[in-house]
Amino acid sequence: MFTRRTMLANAFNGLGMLALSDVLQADDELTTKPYAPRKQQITRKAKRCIFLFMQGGVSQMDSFEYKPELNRLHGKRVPGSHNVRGELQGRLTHPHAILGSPFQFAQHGETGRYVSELFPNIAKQIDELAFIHGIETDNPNHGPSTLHVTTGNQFPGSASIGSWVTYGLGTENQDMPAYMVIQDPRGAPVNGAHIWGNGFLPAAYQGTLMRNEGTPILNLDLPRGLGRQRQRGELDQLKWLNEEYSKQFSNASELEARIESYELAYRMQSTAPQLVDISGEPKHIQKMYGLDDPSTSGFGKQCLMARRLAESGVRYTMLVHGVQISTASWDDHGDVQGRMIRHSQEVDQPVAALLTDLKRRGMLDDTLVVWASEMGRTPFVPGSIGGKPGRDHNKYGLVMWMVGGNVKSGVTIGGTDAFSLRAADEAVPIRNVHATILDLMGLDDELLRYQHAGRFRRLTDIGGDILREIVDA
Amino acid sequence: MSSNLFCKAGHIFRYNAGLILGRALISSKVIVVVSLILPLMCVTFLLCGNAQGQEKNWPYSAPVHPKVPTVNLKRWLANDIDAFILKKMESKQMVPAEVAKTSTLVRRLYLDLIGLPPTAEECDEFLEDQSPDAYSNLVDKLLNDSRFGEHWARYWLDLARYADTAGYEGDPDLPYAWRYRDYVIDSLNRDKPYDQFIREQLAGDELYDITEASELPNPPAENLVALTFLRLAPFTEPRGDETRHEMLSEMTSTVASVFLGLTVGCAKCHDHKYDSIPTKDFYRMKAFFATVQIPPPVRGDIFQIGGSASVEYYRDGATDWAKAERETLRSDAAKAATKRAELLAELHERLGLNAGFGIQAYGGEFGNDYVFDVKPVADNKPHWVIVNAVNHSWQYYTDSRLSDQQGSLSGSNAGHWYNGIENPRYLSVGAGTGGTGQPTESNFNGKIAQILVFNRPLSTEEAGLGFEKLARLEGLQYWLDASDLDANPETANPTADSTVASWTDKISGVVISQMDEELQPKLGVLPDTQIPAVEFDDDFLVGDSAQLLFLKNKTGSIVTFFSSSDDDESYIFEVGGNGQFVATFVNPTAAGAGGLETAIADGTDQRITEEERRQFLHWKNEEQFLPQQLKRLTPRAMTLRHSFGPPYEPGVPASYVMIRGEWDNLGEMIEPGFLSAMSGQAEPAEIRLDTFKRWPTRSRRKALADWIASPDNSLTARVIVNRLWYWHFGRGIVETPSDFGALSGGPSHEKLLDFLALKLIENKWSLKSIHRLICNSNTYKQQSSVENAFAEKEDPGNRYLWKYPVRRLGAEVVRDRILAVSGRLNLEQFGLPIFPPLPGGIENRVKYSRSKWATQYNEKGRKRSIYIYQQRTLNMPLLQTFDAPVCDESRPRRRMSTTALQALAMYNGPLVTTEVPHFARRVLDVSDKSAENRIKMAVKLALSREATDEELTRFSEYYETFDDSQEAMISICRVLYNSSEFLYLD
Repeated sequence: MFTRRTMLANAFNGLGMLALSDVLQADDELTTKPYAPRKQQITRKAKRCIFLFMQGGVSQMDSFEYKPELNRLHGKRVPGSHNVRGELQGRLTHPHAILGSPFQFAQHGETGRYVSELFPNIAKQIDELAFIHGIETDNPNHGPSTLHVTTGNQFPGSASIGSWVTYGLGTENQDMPAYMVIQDPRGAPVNGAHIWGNGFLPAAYQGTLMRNEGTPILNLDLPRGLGRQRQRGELDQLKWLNEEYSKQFSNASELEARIESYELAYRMQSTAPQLVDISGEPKHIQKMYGLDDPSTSGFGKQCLMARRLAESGVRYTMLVHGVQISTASWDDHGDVQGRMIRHSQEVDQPVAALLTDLKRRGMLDDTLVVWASEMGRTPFVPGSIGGKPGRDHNKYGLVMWMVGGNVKSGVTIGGTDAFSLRAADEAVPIRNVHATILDLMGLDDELLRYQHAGRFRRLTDIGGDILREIVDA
Repeated sequence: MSSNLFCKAGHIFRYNAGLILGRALISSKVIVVVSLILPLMCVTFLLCGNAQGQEKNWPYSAPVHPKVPTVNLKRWLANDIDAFILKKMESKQMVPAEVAKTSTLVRRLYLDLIGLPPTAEECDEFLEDQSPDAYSNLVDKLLNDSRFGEHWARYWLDLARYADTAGYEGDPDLPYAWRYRDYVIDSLNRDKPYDQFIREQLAGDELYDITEASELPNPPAENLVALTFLRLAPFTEPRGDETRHEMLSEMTSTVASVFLGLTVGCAKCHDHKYDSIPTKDFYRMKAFFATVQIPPPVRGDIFQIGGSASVEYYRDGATDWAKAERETLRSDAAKAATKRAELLAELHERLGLNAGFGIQAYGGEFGNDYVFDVKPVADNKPHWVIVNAVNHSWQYYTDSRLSDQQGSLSGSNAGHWYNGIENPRYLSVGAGTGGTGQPTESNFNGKIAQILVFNRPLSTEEAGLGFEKLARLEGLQYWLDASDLDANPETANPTADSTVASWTDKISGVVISQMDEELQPKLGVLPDTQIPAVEFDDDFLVGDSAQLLFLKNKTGSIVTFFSSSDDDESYIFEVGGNGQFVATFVNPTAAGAGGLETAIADGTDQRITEEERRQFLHWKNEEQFLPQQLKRLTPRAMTLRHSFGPPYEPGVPASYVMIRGEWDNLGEMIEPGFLSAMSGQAEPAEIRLDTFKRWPTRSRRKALADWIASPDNSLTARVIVNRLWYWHFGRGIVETPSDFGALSGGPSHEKLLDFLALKLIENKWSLKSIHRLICNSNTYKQQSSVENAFAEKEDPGNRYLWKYPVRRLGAEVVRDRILAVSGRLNLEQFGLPIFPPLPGGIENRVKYSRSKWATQYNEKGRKRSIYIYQQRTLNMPLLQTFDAPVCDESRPRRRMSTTALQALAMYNGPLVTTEVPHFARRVLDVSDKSAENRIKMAVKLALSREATDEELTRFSEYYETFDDSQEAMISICRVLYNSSEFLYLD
């Protein structure tokens, strides 16, 4: 019969060995050519992804979820407890009052989707977008939920989506980092660099933070007093020295890659600054992104930069809007009305401009754009409605949208109950969204894995179901 | 048919994902097969799910004393390690490489054992030592060098997921974590027996037996610091039982992977898919931690990461060091405060500023809402300010510059701008009236030349037009102009110094006036100009606001052209009624010192020099930073203890399996127990309580620690010797040092592993004895550069170690080596975290008020890399680029990468750029100043070897192309810093 010995033998001879060689085979390439372009695992149109992250938890019922019931019952308690479990339950057993949305909703486009008055520009393109409602994360605090949405795990240590995508696909433009991050010019998001971290994946796959001032990437400027000519002279000496060194070793692919890395860096010094110099963009484009208006110029610049990076072949660009623990994030515990006006105004026009711009250039066909936050918000306030009411965290109510590549336009997945408390029927775990993003990028959640700490880690960890309705393929 | 497949198939069913088998297997065929074998699975689980009485296999079986193998090439053997290595090689018809050159060996030993290159003198000393023991003496010397611990502790800190902050939101400081770092360095330097090292970290508080009915013993300080190990996981706002479950689970999986090399954590949610670790075993192991008690959070710990306990300094001289350090920090802090205050006073004196211009809405639905730009305006200079009401928020322009300060429009937004005032009755200029039409204590001292109100917000472009053109813009609805007080251009304006009893709006003709002569302002001119302005000195003008057009608007803009020298909050333009009002004001008080400070910091005020700005920020930073360092210096530790148990605290809680790993999904009740795959049975572990069972919550972790640190534990010794092997050779006998399970692929040299494990136990767990053995083997001394086509073909990955594996140095060694070569490395050991300069002001991009990076530009910032503050949300870019992890999970190994960003960091980055001139200076200062000698010296310093003839020729020619020898050496030194050889261990 079955003994432990045969079980182990099987593990070594069969799947265990297979798995090990899997890892070791990739070793050389991961060390020497981490960014070499790799083939998609599934044929998909998207060549790159722009991930728009709204830090703080966007209020779904003031943006993309029309819930007239909230206005009807404004000031009252949430009736019944039919859909209330988990951690919302505790809060609903305490005094609370429903807060109707102060914003007007209207139907837009052929799909007739309701959008609040806060997003007039995105509303014009609403038919293009695919929405996912009632997404759940594991934790209602900003730190864990932000990590959950950006890395697939609420605990630090896992690889961010962009790391997985660049690990799987490498990149097209070797003169630029594969994975760029542009954070809010006002400051860093919750968890800082963790949300674009490589986690357990090789460090080469971490996001590179674009700088606000000076050169876009750290260390692009030559040391003071050093001209290009003298640099060339030094690099020639260096090349010779390094070649002499690598000659001593058989199988010196890693050392050869290092020699090549200096040539790459040399090229990056001239390409990267050109790439991020938006002063050459026509006036009407700058205006379209809202660069002439102080309220939109911040995120407008981030969006315009994202388009330029995407155009140049950067595989994954993450934009963050919002700063942690501040009124500049979407974490509107107070004055949700006043603040939502401000946040939405800051992003609506720039995001719409990005979509328009990508479309005009024919890039929306092969660029996946994802709009996300770390959670939704509650339809009620604790206690009673005061002067400037706000909304609490709701880990069951995240809404996201996607567009571009193989995303099927106009689709809606899931939906929350009449109060936007949580999914009316089936909740969408965030891992399903992650599996879908990978699929849309031509990557297979089941094959894109990495051996770490005794198992094969994936973005979705335990596996996600692809939201097939959203994938037009 | 394989039972392994059953487990996997079960998993696929459970998670709806073909984790291992891949897509191909999730076909209908497999479903058929699985459905056929499914009933069999139950039987299988019954048969092999219970480990009792089963024969144990590697790695669960105990190491066996292996016979040292007989080999053909006997002369190659330096010690027993070589016999095991050579035996494998010979079985594959491979031959070992020659012993490396002496210069290579000395460099290898230094970099590998102490993480620093040998100095030129150290190289020479060794090369000249002709004694047969020269090499082994050097090994001993370096093992006894206190820099050894600083290098090897870094590996352990990766395993211990060490950081100085908790991560997540706010990334709060763990102020005493650094003491654990020093504990590790010190323990390794003292060659603390590894079993003791384990016991201290897991159960340092429980190690002492209580045989009488006495109080709890006071554990040694060192043990309490060691316990920090269990608390180093990232942590954020706790959520009760759920967080406790996650925290104890993390301890369980980290302890298992670090000490046992088993990925027990995989069994938290389901039976381990590859190894014989059932879920139940995870929770049996977790139960050892059930009585862990974390000190509760202190006041002000807003993320509730937990407290610390008083733990004295214990290392020789540490108390004196702390005392001296404390005095220095205190006096530095006092100095910083004085310096900053002096500078601030000086600037205040010179600039007369610290003010802002603001707008306030008060009363009724408005509540009390205000916002102001802190750009200094109370400096008795002419200013013009635009306040825009746009889409429910306020926007500011002071002298055409848009302010960072933005605010929401007040109230519920049912009303905004002036139309939010329910019953506007008064309009006043000058002193405030609080909406009553009567003066209040809020005055105004200054001159107003013009006030304009528009029915729309002005655009950035319009704001940039300059003051003169504004009155011609569309939408002007109200205009007070001091050069035409009666709003009639036909009549002459009154002469300077005459009193102003009334002032007329040029648009509507509405008049504001003052009957009380005491309160009438005068006519004057704006300072430094000839522009007429009404001069207020606690005066005001008031009128009926009912006729004003702009009151009905929903948005608008107020433009004020004025000067002020006020140092109190004072009002300028107000519309109100019934105690409700909207008013503009000059606000030096509310802006406080912040007004001046912001003006200094934001760099827009041209009157403040760059040097003043730098000075100010430096002192301010110091003033915040030094108290943080002082706090870190208090003799405390992030330790933990066992709960005291009844009657003081609750007793031992019942432990359960948590189904699917969910904190609120209780399964079977369980007792603490050792992993069944290792112990061969599933009985509860024996917890040895004190004689009188007075402390029933004690000794749980001790039981676990004793079991792990036992010579009979089949994994503990194997795992640590494999780690040492891994760190010496860049690869392990088992390739995955924290996973000895099935996915590891097993050991390449099983007998060698057992030999080393038993040697460690025999040598009383002395880690240095294993280092010594490894470093003295011929396996270790092999050359890395060899021509061996046969071996290359047979074993391209060098798994059989037919040559020394060349590999890149770790990030910390790279940084330390750069500083060592420039001669500027500060070798001071132990102590508070350091904050070296970061490139590109990155510390300001990812900073949090609670854990601030205060750059140390002096020698403090040039201590070895292990002392750098580990901020979880801000990894030092240079180190990160060279693959240093953000330590949030235990990291058994680092994947080395080669990227263009590394090239940029080395070639352009600030560290090399700063150090190159110092390196060059060392070479330029040598006595023989010939080019050749300088080049020789540079190569020797950078690469710890003699320059080759070719290098001398080539670099000399290159040297000659420069006019300036200093520049020539700078270029050559930069090339050497950037060379591959500088970054590699060979």
